Amino acid sequence: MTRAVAVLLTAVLTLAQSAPAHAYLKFGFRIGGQTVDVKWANAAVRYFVNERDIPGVTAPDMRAAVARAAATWQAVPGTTLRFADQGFTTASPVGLDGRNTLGFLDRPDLDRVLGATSLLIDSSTGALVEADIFFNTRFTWSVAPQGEAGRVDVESVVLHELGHFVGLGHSAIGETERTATGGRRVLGSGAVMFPIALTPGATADRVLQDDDEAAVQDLYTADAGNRTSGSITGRVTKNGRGVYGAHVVAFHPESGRIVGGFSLNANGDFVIAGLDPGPHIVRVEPLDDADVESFLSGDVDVDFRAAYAPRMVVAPAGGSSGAVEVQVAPK
Amino acid sequence: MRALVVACVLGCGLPVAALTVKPLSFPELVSESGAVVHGRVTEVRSQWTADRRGIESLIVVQAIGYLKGEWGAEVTVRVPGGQVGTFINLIPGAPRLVQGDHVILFLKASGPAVPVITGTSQGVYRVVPDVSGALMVVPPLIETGAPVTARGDLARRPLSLPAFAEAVRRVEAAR
Repeated sequence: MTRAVAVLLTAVLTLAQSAPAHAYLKFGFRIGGQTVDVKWANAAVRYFVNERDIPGVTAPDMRAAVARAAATWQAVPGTTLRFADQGFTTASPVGLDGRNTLGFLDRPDLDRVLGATSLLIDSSTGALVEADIFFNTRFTWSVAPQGEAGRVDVESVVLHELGHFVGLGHSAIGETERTATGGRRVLGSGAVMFPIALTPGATADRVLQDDDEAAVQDLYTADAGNRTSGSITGRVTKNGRGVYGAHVVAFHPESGRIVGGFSLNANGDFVIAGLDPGPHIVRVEPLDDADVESFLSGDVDVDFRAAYAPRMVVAPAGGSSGAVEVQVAPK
Repeated sequence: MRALVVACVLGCGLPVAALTVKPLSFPELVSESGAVVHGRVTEVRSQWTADRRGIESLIVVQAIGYLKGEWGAEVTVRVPGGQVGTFINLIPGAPRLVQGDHVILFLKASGPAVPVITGTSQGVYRVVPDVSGALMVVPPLIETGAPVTARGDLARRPLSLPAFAEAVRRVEAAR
């Protein structure tokens, strides 16, 4: 065991700790009594693109789609995040080889997975050491500007995986419906980091949403000393006890921005940063319709009714709301 | 889109899944699994993969019982990621299990390979006691209720362990 408490997700580790990690979902470690975000330490994150072509997508097509998605993330105002394209490589998009590599890979064993990101983290510092992303050739892909019916949009999935690549977990802002076969289909999502892909052919996830932007602004703040955004802190309780794994959503009526987070420890504590200053409606809901393991580990409490904070909660510019308690009732 | 999402967050409900994934329905999860084990994680061993290009974890589960199949009193499952020395290999969306976890795992295997969890994180359910001490299975199944899967739906609650087992058997019987 190292200086770090050896746990993978912030959510996992904070379950046993007292301080909550900020949400959307960021990854982090408890080091020396402090929660340290998992992030890139360098100003520009270098990456390579595997030179493999697949039907419908050439390697230059892939490289261009990655460049567009990288530009989308680094265009979020107020952040230090930068990417640096290093060109093509023959290196595999999996494997710890000192290169950050993105590319197509045959993974018939993962026939439900469009793509995945692998992060190598130095647990003594929380620094990202390497990241790779593969896109599964089990699916048919497209880089058509307007999308292509029946084919998965490369740029949309790259944008999602790049979110993981820079240290973000999944967002729970989205809505699904059942399909005739009993599966799930996304009706609408409020975050590119929502874990279920849109219907093949859709390109809506080429654009970051409020929740994604708040997350990357929080993680890669350009000027922490002059932060103009606000945060809301609080606690979710049920019968007087903390609730772990509640989804907490802050809605800013003036701008229409929606940013989500989670209560990330046994005390039910949550923090949502990167908010527009001003009053917010705060709703707490259970992850009772979700594959909760995709978000959080541990014994997540999903047996409660959705509830609202009893009053509007003000996120002050550059500061945090006072502690807000949202009480939920069992179903 | 904005109106839809606002309406959703303030009034209705939401999601599921992993790794930008196409979700499995519960019947698919059952039918694609060779075994469904109920048990406790007794050991987690992380190691470099055979080609030393990544880290994987071997999860040892002491079986309390099987809801489908029968793969022995102890079953070892491979999941991607883990920690070796100071290095942690994290795969966002992949299951993360620790010693002592009380779980139901949907498993599949091909040939002599170490079994894996079906549908990555979708094949992990956790067994937790409710206030009365009864064992409940989380998350709830999403096969019942209205087509739109609204969060907080009063009809969607964790099933008791026997009811969950019955749901698995019902799917198997219908095949």
